[in-house]
Amino acid sequence: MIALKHVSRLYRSDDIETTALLDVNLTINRGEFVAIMGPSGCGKSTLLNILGTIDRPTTGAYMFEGKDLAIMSEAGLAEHRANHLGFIFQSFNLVDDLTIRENIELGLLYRKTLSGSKKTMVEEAMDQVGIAHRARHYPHQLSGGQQQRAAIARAIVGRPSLLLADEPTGNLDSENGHQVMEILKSLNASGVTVIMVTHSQSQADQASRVVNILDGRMVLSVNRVLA
Amino acid sequence: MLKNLLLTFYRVTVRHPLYAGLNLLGLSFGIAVFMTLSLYARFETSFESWIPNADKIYTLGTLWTLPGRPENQTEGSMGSLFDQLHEDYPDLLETRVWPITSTLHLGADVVSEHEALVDPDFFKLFDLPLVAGDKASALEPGRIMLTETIARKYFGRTDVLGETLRVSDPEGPATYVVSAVLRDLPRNTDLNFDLVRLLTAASHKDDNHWAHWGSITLNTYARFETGAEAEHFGAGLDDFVDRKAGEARPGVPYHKIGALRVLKLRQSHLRDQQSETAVVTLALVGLLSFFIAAINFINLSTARAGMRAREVAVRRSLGATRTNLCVQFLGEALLMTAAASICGLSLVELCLPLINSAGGLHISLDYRHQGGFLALLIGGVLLLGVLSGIYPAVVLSGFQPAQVLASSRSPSGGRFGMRVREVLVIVQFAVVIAFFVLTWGFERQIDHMKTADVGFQRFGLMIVPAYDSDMTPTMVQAVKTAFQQVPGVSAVGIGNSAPGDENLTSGTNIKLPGQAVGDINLTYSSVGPDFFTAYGATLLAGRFLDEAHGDDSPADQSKTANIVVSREALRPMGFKSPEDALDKTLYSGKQRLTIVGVVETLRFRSPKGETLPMYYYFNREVTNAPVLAVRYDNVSESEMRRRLTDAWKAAAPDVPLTLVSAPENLDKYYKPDRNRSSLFGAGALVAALVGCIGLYGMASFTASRRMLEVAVRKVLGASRKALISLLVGSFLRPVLIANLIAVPVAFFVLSRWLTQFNDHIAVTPVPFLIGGGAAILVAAVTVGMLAWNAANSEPGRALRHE
Repeated sequence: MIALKHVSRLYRSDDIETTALLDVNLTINRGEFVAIMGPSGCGKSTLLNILGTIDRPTTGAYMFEGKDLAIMSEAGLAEHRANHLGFIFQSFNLVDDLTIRENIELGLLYRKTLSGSKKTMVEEAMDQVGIAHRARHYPHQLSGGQQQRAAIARAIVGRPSLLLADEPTGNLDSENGHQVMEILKSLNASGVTVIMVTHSQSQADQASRVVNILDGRMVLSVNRVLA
Repeated sequence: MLKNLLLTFYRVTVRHPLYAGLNLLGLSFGIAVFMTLSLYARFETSFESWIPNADKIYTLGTLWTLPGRPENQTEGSMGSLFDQLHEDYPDLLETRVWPITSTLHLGADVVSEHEALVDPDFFKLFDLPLVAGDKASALEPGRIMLTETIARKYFGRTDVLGETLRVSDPEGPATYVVSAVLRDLPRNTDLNFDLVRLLTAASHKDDNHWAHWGSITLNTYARFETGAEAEHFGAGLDDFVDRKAGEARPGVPYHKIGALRVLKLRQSHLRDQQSETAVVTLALVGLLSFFIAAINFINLSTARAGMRAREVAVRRSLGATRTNLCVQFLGEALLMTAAASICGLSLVELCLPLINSAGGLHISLDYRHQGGFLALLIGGVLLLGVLSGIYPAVVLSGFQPAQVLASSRSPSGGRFGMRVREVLVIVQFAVVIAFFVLTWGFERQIDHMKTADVGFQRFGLMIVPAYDSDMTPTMVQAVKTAFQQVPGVSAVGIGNSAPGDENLTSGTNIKLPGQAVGDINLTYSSVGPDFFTAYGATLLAGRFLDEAHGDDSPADQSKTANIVVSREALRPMGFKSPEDALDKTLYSGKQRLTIVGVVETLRFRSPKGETLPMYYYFNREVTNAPVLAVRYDNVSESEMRRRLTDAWKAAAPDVPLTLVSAPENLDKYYKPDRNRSSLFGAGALVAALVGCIGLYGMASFTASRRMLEVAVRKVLGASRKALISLLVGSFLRPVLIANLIAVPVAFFVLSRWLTQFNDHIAVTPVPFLIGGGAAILVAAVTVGMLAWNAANSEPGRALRHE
């Protein structure tokens, strides 16, 4: 389903060239739960951004359902994100000026077609993460865990096939982190492919595969058999 | 998508009231000034446009080219030009409009009204709307047309066809039958009459200048279907003038000094360059105010862009295209401009009465008649609003989501964005400082004109024109005697020139002994006894004219007459000093004149026009266009008015009295500039306010963006003082640069403007120091307050937040 072929990403500033990713080859099948691990600055987030098409590889191909996204137009990528992807961030990134419900609705705003009524889809997403009772609140009125659950609802409201999570529990205490992991696992169980960047070995242990990155290279990919 | 746009706009507005308020306030003020000054410019440029086929009407104006004087294009012409043209151009469609004052009785009162005497084809040129009556018969002899206002004033109603009205004018007193009622003329016209009737030979039987080439009595208009036709006609006018008028003096065809020109009626209101420049300047101030507000808008939007960067990144990760985001931000700009337009329009509505009274104007927001224009204005405002939203929209929508999400700092449009904002602040402040200096200069000059030495004592002086057609020379003398007996009056003089009175101007070419032809043009005025005493003129050499010297007014025309000349006349005649001119003899035609006195120039006319070189000759009874000057002291102006009115009523009961103080009569020369200066000042003040709003907005965003830097510096041991001077300093730089730009520009513009006055103030450094200093002070205080807060905040919070 997803295949990165010889993907590299270089950043150039005036006189410094930094290699964030170097010759990464990675295939991820539908329904997998992949954890990406590695030390700070190793290129985890860059890899996730490329997978999420908000960054482009400098060289190499990114095949998604048979299409090469590395050479797709900006507009084509925007449509791709709207229809197929869901993002979860470490710092939630809810829009401060919108209520929780409105934030979640944003997840449907840029889709050309919807599979059901907007209202139903938003309510289902809220129910799924247990945030419906906070629908009319603003983000700053919620706890971190609630904010992240709202952010997950926004990511999944459009029923994406691929969910990308960048350290989704990084800003949460263990109790809330646990809840978030449970939600991700149940989404994965319902057929959504999940790719998650994490520092936590215990969370990586809950994924079906762990990919290790070091200095921009993929050093290890381990398939795990979940109990 | 639209719903989300509206929702986001609403939320951003409600949740960031400072930002939204500053933006809305600035834009509204800018729009209000822009709309007011656009309405003003439209009013000033719309004169006579309401007359059907106004573009086909032309004025035949006289262009004077007198020796030693600048060219002078007037709108007027000789009384008999109409007839002389008719002889040579029988098919020419023309009419005269002779504006005169007529006397009517309203109950017990004697009242002056504005009357116009016109020719039978009047309506073929000026197709003025009638409320009642028939144009075909309206101008028959013995009949008269009234405006609605006059009909109401004298009859209390407007259905007055067939009523009679007794009117006294140059044709003598007569009763006329009302033939038509004219709709009141609108404000945007220089036509000034309330009564109209046919011009007949009897109306000018006493006017011995009627057919005198070189005289100007009335306006002659002609109608041409095309511009080419008018041009073709105009090309033949020099020959026509020479054919009819002959030579001005031997060897000089008449058109070389007094040519006829075909002038567009529509352009007559702003014919003089200064008025046109003033209107254009004010229109520019309007545009600039809006421009400053637009700069604010751009600056605040891009400054805030950083705070919305994460929102942009999230929206992009959710599948928004760059176009989606551009539409979003442009939409927000459009909504903000639309809201500001409504506020601006309301401000205009609220402030128009104030502006009209301050500026002596008649601007109105007339949705019914100016709907198209207002729609165009608002459309223009919205368009400009959207244009100013483009830059922020492009900057915002261009953020790379991966970079924004990876960074803990929010982007600010980069170094380029910072440079753009700094340049915009510089432009804004430069305009504000220049506005301040110019307003200061304008106001000072107008004050100066009101108090400057005009060569006579303007206070304690009443001006009483006595040239009404009903006024006989005997009555003039009777009035003079009556005035002299009024307690408090110290002198009464008569002359046919007076401050602010341009009823009569006569000029002649004089010849010095030894010269073959006279090529020095002097204006002359006849003065009676006590003329110079009443005005308090300053004698520079010799003596004033009086009755004691028999030679001052010889009964025998062939004898030498004595004259007094003004200082202004010395230079063209080549005299080095006032004393040098004494006892010199010159010729006006065959008349010998001897200079017995030199007075300081009496500035009776506009401070903008040239000061006419003059000579005064003595005439015990000034018979031609006499104006009385009454000098009084130790009595209040209102009391003197009352006493003089009583004296007049006793001496000339059937003649309407015009009684004005000298400062009041001179005021008409200062009024247009004062009005424009008030408008300019108001515009400049609002522009400055908008500039300050913008600076405050910019400073508050910069301060909040630099919280982390401030925190780090504090951790490193920076003192509060050091932090404040750092923040304030970074904002003072653009204001200082703005000063460097504004000073030379304002100096140049002000100096150019002042050259039109023959007596003007010097440009001193004072306004520049105050304007520049005030800008720096406002910037320092505004930024200083914010910097104080920033410097006092706990560094831990900022660091933790980041």
